[in-house]
Amino acid sequence: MSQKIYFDNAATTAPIEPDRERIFGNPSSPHALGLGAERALSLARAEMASLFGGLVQEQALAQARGLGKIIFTSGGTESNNLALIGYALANKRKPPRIFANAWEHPSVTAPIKFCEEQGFFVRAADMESADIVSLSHVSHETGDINDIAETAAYLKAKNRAVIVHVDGVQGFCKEKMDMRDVDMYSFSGHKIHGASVGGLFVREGLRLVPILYGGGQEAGLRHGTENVNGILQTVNAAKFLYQSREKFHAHVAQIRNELAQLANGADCVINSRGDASPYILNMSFLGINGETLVHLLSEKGVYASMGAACKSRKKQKSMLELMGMDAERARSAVRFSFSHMNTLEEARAAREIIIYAVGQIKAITGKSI
Amino acid sequence: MYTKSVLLVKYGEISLRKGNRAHFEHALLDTLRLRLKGMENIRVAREQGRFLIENTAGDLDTAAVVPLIKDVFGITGFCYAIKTSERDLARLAEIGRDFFIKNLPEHVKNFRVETKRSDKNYPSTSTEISATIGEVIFMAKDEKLAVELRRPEITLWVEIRNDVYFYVNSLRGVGGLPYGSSGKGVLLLSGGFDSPVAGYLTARRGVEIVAVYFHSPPFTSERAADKARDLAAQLAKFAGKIRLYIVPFTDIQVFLKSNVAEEKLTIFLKRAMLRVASRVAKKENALCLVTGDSIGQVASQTIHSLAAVETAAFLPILRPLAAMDKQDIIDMAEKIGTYEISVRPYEDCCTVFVAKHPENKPNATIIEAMEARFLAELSKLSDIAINDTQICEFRL
Repeated sequence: MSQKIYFDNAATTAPIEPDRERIFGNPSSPHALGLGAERALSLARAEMASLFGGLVQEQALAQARGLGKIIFTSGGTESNNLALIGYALANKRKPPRIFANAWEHPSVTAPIKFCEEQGFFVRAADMESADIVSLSHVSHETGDINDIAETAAYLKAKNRAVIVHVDGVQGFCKEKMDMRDVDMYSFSGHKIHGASVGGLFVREGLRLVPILYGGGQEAGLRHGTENVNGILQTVNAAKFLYQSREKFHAHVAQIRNELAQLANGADCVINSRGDASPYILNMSFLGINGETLVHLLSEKGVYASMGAACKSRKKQKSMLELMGMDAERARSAVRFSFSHMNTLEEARAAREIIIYAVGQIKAITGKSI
Repeated sequence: MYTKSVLLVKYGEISLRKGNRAHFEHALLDTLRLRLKGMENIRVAREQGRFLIENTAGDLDTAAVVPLIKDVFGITGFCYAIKTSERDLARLAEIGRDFFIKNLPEHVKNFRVETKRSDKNYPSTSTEISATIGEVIFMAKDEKLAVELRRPEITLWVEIRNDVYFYVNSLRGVGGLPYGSSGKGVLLLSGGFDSPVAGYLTARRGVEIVAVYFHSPPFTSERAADKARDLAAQLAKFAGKIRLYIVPFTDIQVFLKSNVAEEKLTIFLKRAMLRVASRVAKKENALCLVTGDSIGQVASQTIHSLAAVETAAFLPILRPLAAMDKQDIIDMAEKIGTYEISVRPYEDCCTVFVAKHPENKPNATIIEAMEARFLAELSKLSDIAINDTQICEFRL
């Protein structure tokens, strides 16, 4: 099988190389090369910020409140850590009450747990009573979308001071992003065909305390030499994806719908909600182990994953179980995730291969006497 | 006349083996030389029941040498010694005194001098030498350090050989026998905590290890096979060399799954593994199989199950962990660096088709009678598996 079908784009995506030359120089250096790098970085930062500014639907409001700033980081994990730990440290006098769902990505739940243990955060009983709420834009497991604008507006109507952090790693430049009431938004470059860098959009006026210390880069919020070329590549990819967002969305939806036809109501069920992002399709092949199917598909040239469930130790509950799914269905779940680079032909071929692979495994595992 | 710091290496049991002693000693010497190959001016030599490691150009950097050889099987101890060409007892007493005082911790209240005289031509007896040196030390410390012959806090060891050696401090070795000096065994290596520890313990008794890992794609991932490779490489750090057979096991597993009852499947699987391992042993001229079984740990490790599995092997099965508790095994795994590899969460072939309630008191006679029905077919599948085996070798 020479065909390679990559349906694991929620893990990482193929980078789009920018058509400009690589920049050489440390933005903090005093000489001309350093200045060149600094200017390129400033331009990229402004472009990214304006992209976020453009996402605020009411421009007048955006201008009234001032745009946010972009802090570039090493990736989505660091962005989430900076948002949560940075906010906790900035408000240490009275530990903020935080709310986040248990099935959020570990890069959200783990720093919250850390802050709780340190006494920087206390858990809020519900969203409405929280000082800070962290929610994902698009679930990395199922693709389910949170309407961030609506949720944020609802929360702000209840409590004007509430801070809303959005883990946007799977939604950035893919789904509708109305940043009207969002205070922080984490993104990752390599999930959008950029480089292995990340960033955090922070609303103007929101104070964070850095979690890395050193040479004072990124307005003192994220010390350490910037990955200039990675940032340029990521901004380039973000602009491209954002501009073609609707076209790509429709294209990927076709691919997703093709694969979703595997669901037959009996032993193949879709775990993603009907209105989930088309970029992620989570399905359970009841009666077989999702991990086994993923390995066999890999042999046949189709690359998918079990989602983050596989990373957790066996005795822990998987994300899907935390979301309320029974253990057997969660164990048989496979996550397919797409990109605009995938084709409908790939989806058709993958469908055939999946049917074959599921049949193979059932023939083997079902025949016990 | 010169005096310099050296390392005296003690080996225990091999000195008991009269006829094969030279063979064992040479095996161990080769290992030590191999491990110290990169270092300049190092000489490793036999010295009457000890090995001497010295720097031909001066003092030995023991801090650099010891970490490279402290895990070598067969070595019981390392003595941080000085070596002198001096023979005169009065001069020796001064050298011994200075060395002793330099290595004397503050709180010590009493001491002893203990002499071993391998060179029987030396004019004084061991007792006389000890007494002379002891007296010089006693005077030097203004009689504040008492002599205590029975249970001293600290001992100055004096060894009269071709040269004279003094030492106070020594480090315990891992013991055992030189690797490969006890023949060869085939280790059934899973990804778990137990089998690498079983392999380590057996290798420490001098058995050269050939490891067999059963790979069942797509039920087990390539990462699980990597785990087995990494475990073999970790064991090679002690043993020096480990050969690993990665046997494709899916077809056998699937065959058994469709031929035996679910609750008996693990017993038949283990029997099939022992059969394949026995064939590997034959090919490798190995004389035993080694498993990580620990009595009663899981259903397939009750003594009933062990008895029902045993007859599939045509070689003795060593189970060094049989009487160990899980926590002791894990502690050992941490010590030998296999814990952090074993803890990676990938499934291995034993956990793929596990029944909810596996049988824990199988009857060996019944199991064998059932197996006889499909043994011919199973043999064919074993042949194919062995043919398709991937063999790799890991070295220090």
